[in-house]
Amino acid sequence: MARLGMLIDLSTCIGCHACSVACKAEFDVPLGVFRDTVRTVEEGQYPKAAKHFVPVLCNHCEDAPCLDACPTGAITRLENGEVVIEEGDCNLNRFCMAACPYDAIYEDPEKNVAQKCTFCEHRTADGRQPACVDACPTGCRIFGDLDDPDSRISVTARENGTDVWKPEAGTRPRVLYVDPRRALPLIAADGVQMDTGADLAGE
Amino acid sequence: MPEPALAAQITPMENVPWGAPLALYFTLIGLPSGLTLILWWRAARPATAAVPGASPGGGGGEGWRLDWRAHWTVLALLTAAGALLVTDLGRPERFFLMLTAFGNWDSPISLGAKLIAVKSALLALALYLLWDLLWARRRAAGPGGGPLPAARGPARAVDRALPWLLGAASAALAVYPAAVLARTWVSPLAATPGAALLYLLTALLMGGAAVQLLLLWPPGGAAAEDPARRRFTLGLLTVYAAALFFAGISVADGTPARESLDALLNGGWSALFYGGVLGAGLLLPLLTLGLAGRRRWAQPAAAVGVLAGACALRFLIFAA
Repeated sequence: MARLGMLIDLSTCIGCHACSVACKAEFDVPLGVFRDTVRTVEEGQYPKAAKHFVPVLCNHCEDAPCLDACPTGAITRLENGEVVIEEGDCNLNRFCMAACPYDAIYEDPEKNVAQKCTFCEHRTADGRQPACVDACPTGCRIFGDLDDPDSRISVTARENGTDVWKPEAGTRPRVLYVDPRRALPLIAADGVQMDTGADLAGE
Repeated sequence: MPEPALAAQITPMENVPWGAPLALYFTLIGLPSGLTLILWWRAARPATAAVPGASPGGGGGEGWRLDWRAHWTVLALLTAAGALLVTDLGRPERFFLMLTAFGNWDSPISLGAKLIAVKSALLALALYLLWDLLWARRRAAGPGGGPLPAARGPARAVDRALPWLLGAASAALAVYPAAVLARTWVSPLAATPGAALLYLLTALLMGGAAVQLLLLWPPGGAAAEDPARRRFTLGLLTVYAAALFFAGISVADGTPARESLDALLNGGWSALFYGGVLGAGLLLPLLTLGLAGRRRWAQPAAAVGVLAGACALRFLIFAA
């Protein structure tokens, strides 16, 4: 069985949010919450200022804190490693949300259940790519089998070296980053969900 | 900008998943736990021991009156705790799912709901046995009544096991919030070595204070025990102060818990910490009991302070 994962090359992400929009459209994600988004972080000061774009999503961790936290067994790991939430079994106790160091799980205000990125399990089961991977105009996301040494994701990871987000959390993420400019430590205190309190109303 | 290694498990994320009902729940759940533990301890000690109450609850005298009131109080508080959980979850069937799902024993959050259910059932049984005992005594004291027969067989076993089962459920309920919160990024202080001990001590303090307040009526009913209760409360407060100090200095620099502790000592939570935890919860009762302990108002005043301080500390461990 494959061990699915994602590699994101930060040197080619342009922060266009095509992935975020594709994800929103794929799952009808409500306003104010995110399965997949792009963090923008600035570093340094003029004349040596830099701006980084870091796509963030559920890391489908090998040691997933959400999986251990869920008291009702609503969060499960599929055979291919994808961590998903069975909506019917979720009782919205929010322990998974509090346990996830990436803040990748949100409360769906319409369905009243916890939700998160599933690596587009419905698409990958058909052999297709996740929506965010298909939508990326620069191809900075690679999705595939981490256990297959000849897969594109494994080859790219081997050739470039990879980092993970918040390695100190000890969760062994399956979302890997090629991060030549060391942008990941700059968002070590952030999560997938963002403060949208200052946004204009969506309607 | 915080150090990257430090920042990951701090609580900078805006999307705090738990709101006021859970904050109130984790704060108040210590009260029914502590109240039962104090009653259990009191019942297990000889009447002359320095424990609060007029006489051992399991025997004769007026102890049954306190047990009766305290059990009903605990039952009401557990019902309120369940209601808070239902409010937080949104629908009663979700709370029911907490009770009936046994798939993941690693998840401590559902243990609270299960413990509440188990303890409520045990309390109902304890209240029934107490009611039955009182009726039997009345019948025995009336015309034609004889000596009260001792419980035998299964009844005796239940009679003996019930206080221990209640004590075990209460101890678990007092400490389990530390296990829940330690596994989140919400409450770094709950992951420190002293958190479970502080949760247990605050529960005991809350229980002792509640016993003190329950004994206010009828007036003078337990005046003979006042010095013992004063000594007990002072002793518990001393242990609490020591635990608070050593729990504080056990927090290492450069950790998320240190950030939270700094917020308590110098940051946004300092008013509640100094005013509530140290002022109302420690200094006020220590001074009141130490300097004016013989006055009738001293023990209730100290009890109110202890309750406020213990609540403040439990809330701060959750929220800071």
